[in-house]
Amino acid sequence: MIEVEGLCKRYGPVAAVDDLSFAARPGMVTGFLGPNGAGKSTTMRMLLGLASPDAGRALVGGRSYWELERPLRQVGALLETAAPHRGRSGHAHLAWLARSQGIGMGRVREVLELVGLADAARRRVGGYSQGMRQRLGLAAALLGDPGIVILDEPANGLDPEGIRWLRGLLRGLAEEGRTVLVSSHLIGEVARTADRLVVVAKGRLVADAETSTFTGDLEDEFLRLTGGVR
Amino acid sequence: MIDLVRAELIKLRSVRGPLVALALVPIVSIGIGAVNGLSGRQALDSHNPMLRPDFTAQQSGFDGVQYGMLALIVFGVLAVSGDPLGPALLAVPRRARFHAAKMVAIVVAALPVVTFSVVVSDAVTQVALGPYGKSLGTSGVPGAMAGAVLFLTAMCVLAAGFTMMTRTALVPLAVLLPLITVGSQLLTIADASRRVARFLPDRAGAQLLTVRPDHDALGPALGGAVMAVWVAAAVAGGLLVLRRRDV
Repeated sequence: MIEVEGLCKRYGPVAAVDDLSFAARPGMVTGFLGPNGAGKSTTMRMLLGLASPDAGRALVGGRSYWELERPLRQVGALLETAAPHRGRSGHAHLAWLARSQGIGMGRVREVLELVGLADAARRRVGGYSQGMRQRLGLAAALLGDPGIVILDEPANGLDPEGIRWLRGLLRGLAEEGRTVLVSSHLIGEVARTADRLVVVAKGRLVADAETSTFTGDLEDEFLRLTGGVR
Repeated sequence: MIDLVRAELIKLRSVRGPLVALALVPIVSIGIGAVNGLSGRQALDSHNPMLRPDFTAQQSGFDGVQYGMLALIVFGVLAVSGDPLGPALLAVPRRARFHAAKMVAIVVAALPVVTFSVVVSDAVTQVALGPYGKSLGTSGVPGAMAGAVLFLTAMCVLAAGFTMMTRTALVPLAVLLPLITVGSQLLTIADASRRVARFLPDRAGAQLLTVRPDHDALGPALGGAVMAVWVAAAVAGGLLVLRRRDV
């Protein structure tokens, strides 16, 4: 369960997140949609304790992220700001993460297999393609077998085959009863995967409903919703 | 906490920068120690008037590691600046814990390298001095060796704490390296600035490796205490900045 209540974050005169409230429930994929600069990444960073809210609460599993003991076992995240060091190998990145959470090295090999990076694991991340880096980020997110998964633009850089694979992965995670929050600016892609859509624009909530309730052309609907507050 | 320190150690050894800097510590210390001993021996053989008047074989054994210390400071800086905060704080969201684990890991990595460098650099200098070399067991030397290990490790932690404040390698390197190589030496020329310079971290800390202190020097106990205050300030300052930082 992910709960965001009255969340606010300002950067100078700009309200990046403005009194935002929504929830993401277990057993479903929640799509987090909005144009660039809508506050999606900032919201996720506050959920993950990387940025501190000016007001409101951002809870994962009923608690603040920084209260979690061995957090990667409860929450897995993919975020651009949490990208690995480019001079380190993919394996070494997962190895230190695993060590910090008391996770065995067997699990490192498992997630590397899962995301299809086993062969490239000993190479430096700097030499990876964007898609490979994204897969490594997903491996890091799944390392602790977490009940809550927070992914910021996970489809970025993936090829069509990778995107299809990701779709299946997300559905599988939700079917196992996990809470899955996925941000994107690609409406069509998220609509195919998500059970529920949370739409933000300029830091504010503009829609929060089951995907099936969005009738007609989703793209038109999205632009109407997010354009209204421009 | 042990898991966190071990995770930090994996980080330190899986990127090139800190590893190379740390490997340079014994190479520079022992290399300079050998050259220093050889040139000392030549100067003594030829009664060269350029030899510093306060030269002692015992003290010259500590010249090499003071150059190795420059590489050690680079290690302390890179250990912090080269570690992206995003993944680190996702794994360890309590910032004080992350900071503590990092500082402990830096000490754990540096300590054996520093100890080896101090002992071997001194031994090599004494061997190179030939007939003028003194045994490492000479009065005052074992204490100064322990002091040298303490001093170098403390400078490394100071550099790391300082870097946590700035989050970039540039500022600490641009401040610490010139300060140590020329700055505090220059300040000792004038009498007024000399009194102030005694309290700079490298001058104060160097008292720890002094076999026989000057009459106007702080001495090992006070020098060590001044050094400890500097290190504590840098580490605390690093934590203060880290706690406020949005990633």
